[in-house]
Amino acid sequence: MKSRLFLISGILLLNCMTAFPCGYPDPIEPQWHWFFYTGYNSPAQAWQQQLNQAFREENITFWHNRVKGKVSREEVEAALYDLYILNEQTDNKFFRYLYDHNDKEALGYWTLLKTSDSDYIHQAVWERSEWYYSEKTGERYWYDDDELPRYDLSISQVETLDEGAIRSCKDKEIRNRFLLQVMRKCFYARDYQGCIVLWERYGKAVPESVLRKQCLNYYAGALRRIDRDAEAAIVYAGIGFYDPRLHYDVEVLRKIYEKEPDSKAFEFMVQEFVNTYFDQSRRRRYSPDFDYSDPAGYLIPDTRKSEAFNALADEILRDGKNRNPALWVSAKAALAYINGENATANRLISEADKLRGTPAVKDNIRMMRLVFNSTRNDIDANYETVLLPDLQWLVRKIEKEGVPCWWEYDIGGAIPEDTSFTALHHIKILRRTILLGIIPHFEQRGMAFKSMAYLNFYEEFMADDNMKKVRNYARKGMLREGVGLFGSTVYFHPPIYREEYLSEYDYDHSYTTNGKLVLVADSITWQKNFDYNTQFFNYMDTTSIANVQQYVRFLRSGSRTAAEKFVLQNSYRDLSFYNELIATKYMRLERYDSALVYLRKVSPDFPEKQNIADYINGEHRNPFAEGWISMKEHKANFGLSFNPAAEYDRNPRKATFCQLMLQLRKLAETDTSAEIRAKAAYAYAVGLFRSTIGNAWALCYYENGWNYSYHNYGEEYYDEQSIEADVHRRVDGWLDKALCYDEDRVFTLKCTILHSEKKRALMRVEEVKHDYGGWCWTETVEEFLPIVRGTFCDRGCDGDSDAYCTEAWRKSAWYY
Amino acid sequence: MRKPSAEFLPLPPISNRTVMNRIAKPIALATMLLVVLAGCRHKNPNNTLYNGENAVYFWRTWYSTNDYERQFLTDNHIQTMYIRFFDVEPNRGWRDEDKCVPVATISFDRDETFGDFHIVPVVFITPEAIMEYESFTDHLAHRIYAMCKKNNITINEVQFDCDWTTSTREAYFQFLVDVRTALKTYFEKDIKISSTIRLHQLAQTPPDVDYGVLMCYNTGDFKDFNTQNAILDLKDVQPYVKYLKQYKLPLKLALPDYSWDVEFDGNKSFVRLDRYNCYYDTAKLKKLGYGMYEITGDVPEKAVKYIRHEEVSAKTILDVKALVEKNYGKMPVVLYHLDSVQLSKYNPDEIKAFFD
Repeated sequence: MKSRLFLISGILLLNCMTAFPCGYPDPIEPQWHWFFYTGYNSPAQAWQQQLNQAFREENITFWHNRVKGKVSREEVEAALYDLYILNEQTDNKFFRYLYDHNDKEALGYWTLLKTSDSDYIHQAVWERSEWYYSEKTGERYWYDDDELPRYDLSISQVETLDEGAIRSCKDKEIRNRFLLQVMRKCFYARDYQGCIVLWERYGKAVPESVLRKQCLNYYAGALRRIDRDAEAAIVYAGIGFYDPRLHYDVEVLRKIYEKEPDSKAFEFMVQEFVNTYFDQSRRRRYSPDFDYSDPAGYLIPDTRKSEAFNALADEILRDGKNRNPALWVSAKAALAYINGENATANRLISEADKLRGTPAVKDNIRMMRLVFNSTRNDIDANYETVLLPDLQWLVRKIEKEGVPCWWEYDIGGAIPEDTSFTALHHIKILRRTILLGIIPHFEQRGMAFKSMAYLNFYEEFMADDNMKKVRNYARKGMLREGVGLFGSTVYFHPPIYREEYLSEYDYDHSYTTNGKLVLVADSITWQKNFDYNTQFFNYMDTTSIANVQQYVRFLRSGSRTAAEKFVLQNSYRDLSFYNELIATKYMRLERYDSALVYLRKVSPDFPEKQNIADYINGEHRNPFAEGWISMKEHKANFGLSFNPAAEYDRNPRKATFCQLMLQLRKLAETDTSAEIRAKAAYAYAVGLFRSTIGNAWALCYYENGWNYSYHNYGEEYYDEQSIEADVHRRVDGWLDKALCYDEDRVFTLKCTILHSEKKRALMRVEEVKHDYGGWCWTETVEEFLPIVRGTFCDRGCDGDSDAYCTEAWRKSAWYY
Repeated sequence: MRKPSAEFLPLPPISNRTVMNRIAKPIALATMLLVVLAGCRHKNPNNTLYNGENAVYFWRTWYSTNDYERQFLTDNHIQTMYIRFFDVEPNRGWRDEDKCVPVATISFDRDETFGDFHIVPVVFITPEAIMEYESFTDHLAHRIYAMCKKNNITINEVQFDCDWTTSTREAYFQFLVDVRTALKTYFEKDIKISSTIRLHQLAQTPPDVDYGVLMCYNTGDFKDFNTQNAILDLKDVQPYVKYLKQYKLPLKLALPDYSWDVEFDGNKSFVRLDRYNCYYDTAKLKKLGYGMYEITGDVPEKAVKYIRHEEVSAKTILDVKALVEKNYGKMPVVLYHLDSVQLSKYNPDEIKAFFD
């Protein structure tokens, strides 16, 4: 019954898994925009932070240069950002320099600024409720914090941080900085008109710089707040800021067009319009009927928006005033594609390709064509041939730009430089094409080997140099040195172990991450081995053996088309890797004879090089050594002509295990002695149990792969997985055979305990699901106490104390 | 012969009786009028506030007074100061936790003391914000309490300033009821509530407050390019004074002393108010009349092209005061606002006349 429960819960769990496991970039994550050449995917705040940071750098540099580098940058930075009091007694070296050199303009600026409250107003506005007002008496400002130092502020100083300060400043550079500060003051005082007028009066004199960008940011912000949205949108676009509240509006685009028909900002704004349209269409993802397997089916677009955009685009194309018509037609194509009108999208993208457009737009058209073609169903016969030119072009482009590190392209909020952003976008297009276009295409046609080929191509292409170095070290048997390249920062996938039914037995539950159990079994784990941490590996480890075999045949086949040659050019070719994996998959199915065929093809040193041996050879990982009996007990062969535990100890290899299991099965099935048959069945049950869900699991599984990831492209894998998940029933079958022999009481108890351990395992599954921290053992202990007591007493314990036996029982279950 | 025009017709001879009639009748009429006017001096039965106390508004964001202003307060026996604490407006910032937010909060100079002044905090609430009053009434009451506590200000009254209309009246009136309760909660005593009353609001039912302050300024539409003086114009006041006779609320009278520049772009569209009259390049200004100036030379399309300088003469202020009091009776005056730059435009006698 419980086996069945387990099976059902396992299948339910599998059904809950997404197409791509956690830890891998979600191919339909919101920021994964695919339209156009940049992919601004950060929220407004991140952009603001980036601009503020850039300004901070510029500011420090400016003042550092002002003092001719005589004061360290750190001292300048401290003066600018950490010092609240400025007077002649100030001992900061930067300000001392200004005093000593009588730099009146600079001192005038800083005196005003240090006594101005705009920074703190800003801080208060951002960090607190705007209704907040400190009740503490004795503090000076409504935004005062205890930690802020007090300083004397003259009224005239504060009030003169206004237009007069700009006018009276003779130094042009400082004058521009005054402009920024006064604009800030106006902005935060909500004098938006004041802010605007200041820019219009003095902005022309500000040269192209971060300072100018910062001024324009306030200017645009002020425009927006007095409902001059179209103008604000233009200014924002000019400084690279995207806000869907401004740009996702056809009327705003129209106003911009009326004002400036050939505005360069259109490239930016049209891009953001399409990307926002895509985002807004993703609502279905949050509905219960969302179908993850349908790459286009999750979109519910608001076609009124696209119709309005198309009308504007048509108008612009008719007018002929915009010199980038390809932009508008390609945007129409993108909207059609999101709307599910694939034929129209394909027609429009071809049309756009023939029109005049900037190089960025032309590049984008090519990428869009690749994305579109990858999901086409009408080009089965020459699918790969159609994709090939654009795919090769895109790969070459990415190669030229350089492939960023994994942790760079999977950014979470930070914004790299624009150039790397462009590169990131190209990578995203490649990723989208392969993961959401090509792989589903082949999955739907039952060609898993092609899916694996493209997945492997993508991951090998994306693997950065360090990862490849680690692999090369591993191939030389120097994995530890390779891993050392990363130090502690290495991160492939979060280590998640199959806690569902393994966690109780084996390892140190020393810490958890995200509620998942983390293993600390080895100093260097498979987590740091690239070959066992890719989606390609996960795919192979979870698909059917036949699919993996077909892929290996494909990899080794001689005759290939141009597309196949291209995709296989980056494939991983270590056949030991594939053979070892196929053998392991056979072992999960108890097909030890088939496993041995493949294990014989694995180079002898492969397990050591790949760190597999460490897992297999580890302490308490002998598949035939029962956890609750000391190794000393296993020295005896308990009635068989050989001792499986000792045999394994002599040569702890997968092949040894397979040979022993075959031997035991033969004895259990064919030996003439009932005792031998029973004891062989028992040993076989122990081996089966411990090599799959016991602490010798590394014989049949890897730390990631099956343990970690589930893909659900194919259907066939359910059969194999069901067999794997049915290990309890199989172990029970062998134990039932063993229990037929009832003349040895200790042996019977051992069989019963193995049964009970499995039962506890099942109970634990339920408990872990409900409450990882609150384990309840009492009932289980009570249930099995008599048996445990008897067993231990047989082995010499005094049997006087239930407490002792309970403790012993606990140790037996927990010790490993 | 051509008939002579009326203006050249010879006058008839004047008899003594006619002379008497011509002199006595106007005197009699004038006497009767004086009697009537004297009788009208306290014609509104709600006019109960006049007691000779003078008051000013303080409307800047930094509370501090200079020598001139301190002397002004002493010379004019100012006993009450209405200090604007902050404004409330819809939240247009990035953060959207609050529907409405306080803006332009006043800061208090540490060295300033309020002596024996009666301090009345004033909060300006925009019409858009008042529709969301439920979201901020409690915040507002607490904030006034916090500001008073922190700055050692003792109060017995709070004033609210809102340009409510028929569409926002209900919300504003309910707000006044709610805020009275909220203030009592925080201050643990009854707090008097007063409200500004704009001229157009005289035609409406008065709010349920202890008294009102009739704002006799901002009478015109300053955004209109053709307005001559939006601060105060006698003809803008006249249509409303008829309501004063029956207005069911004790009133004080607020009179302006400020000036400003109203700026317009090349399309004569309003750009902004410049309260500091800070356009600096006077050489570029060409006077067009009515205080209107044009900035010569090329300016960007949306940039300021025209500036209208507005200020109010003492005569206009006194004319308006006379007109209002004629219809309501003698009222305590609150001068808007305490600012040495603005006040120095008037001589001490004129100032005294404003308060008298």
